[in-house]
Amino acid sequence: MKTRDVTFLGLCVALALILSYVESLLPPLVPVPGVKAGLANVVILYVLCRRGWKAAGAVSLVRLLLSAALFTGFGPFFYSLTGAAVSLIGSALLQKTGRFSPVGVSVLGGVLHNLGQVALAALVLESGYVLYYLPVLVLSGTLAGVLVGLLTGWVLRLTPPAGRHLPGGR
Amino acid sequence: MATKRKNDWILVLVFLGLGLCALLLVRGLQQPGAWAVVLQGGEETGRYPLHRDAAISIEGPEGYNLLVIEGGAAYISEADCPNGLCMKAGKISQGGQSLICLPHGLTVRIEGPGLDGVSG
Ligand SMILES: [Zn+2]
Repeated sequence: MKTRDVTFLGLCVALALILSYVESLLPPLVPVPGVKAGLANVVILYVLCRRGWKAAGAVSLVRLLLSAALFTGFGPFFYSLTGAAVSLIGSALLQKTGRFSPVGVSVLGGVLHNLGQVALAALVLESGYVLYYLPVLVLSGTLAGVLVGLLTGWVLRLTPPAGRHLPGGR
Repeated sequence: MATKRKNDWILVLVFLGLGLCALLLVRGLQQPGAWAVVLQGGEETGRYPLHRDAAISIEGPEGYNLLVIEGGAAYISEADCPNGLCMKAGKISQGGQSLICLPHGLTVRIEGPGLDGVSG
């Protein structure tokens, strides 16, 4: 990996961290745990579209580890990790088909993210109660996915792929 | 580009449809509950029958909430949490529904008898 790539991915991690921190400061939209827009996913989806699933997975993992160490502690970490992993696998596969724009990719990612977390919660808490959240989480995951996808599409259009037009030239 | 957009829309509509169906299904499965169960930090700290009207003051390390049981439904009438979302959540009476006060780590959940098949 070139220094240039390391720098780029490092910046992405930092940006994702800041976005998730800022989002945690905002009041929740609805009084249900787990329902949020997931602004940091804009960064992950961006990396997925530009650098592929390995780079996106690396950024996501480092971001979650740092976020747990700095802000949330390792309690919610495994929920986030499960959600992120399931979400990334689904998104990467859907993106590979080449039939969906970032919005579609991100909608599947958002829904899978929530489903992964609920599935883990149901297993860990050994309770079917969490399944009552399922419909709300599917709906909120879809809407969050649309938002994240639109934002990512916008950022992708603003930043042409590296190597073609380098702002400032080199 | 146009077909991608169309595929996106199909995906969104499929998920919204599934979500709404699941919502109706869950609503259909719900039955009036029998107990309001109070959980603080994940531990059950109280259990009150829904058929008896009561006002229960719940003190926690982060603050207090006033749980009111009235006519078979439960709601939070007072709380000193910063956002007050738990008070805005309204009344609950069906098995599986819950009131959550995140800042206080408090959950009030409606249980049984209609939920026996679902809870693990
Ligand atoms: Zn509250």
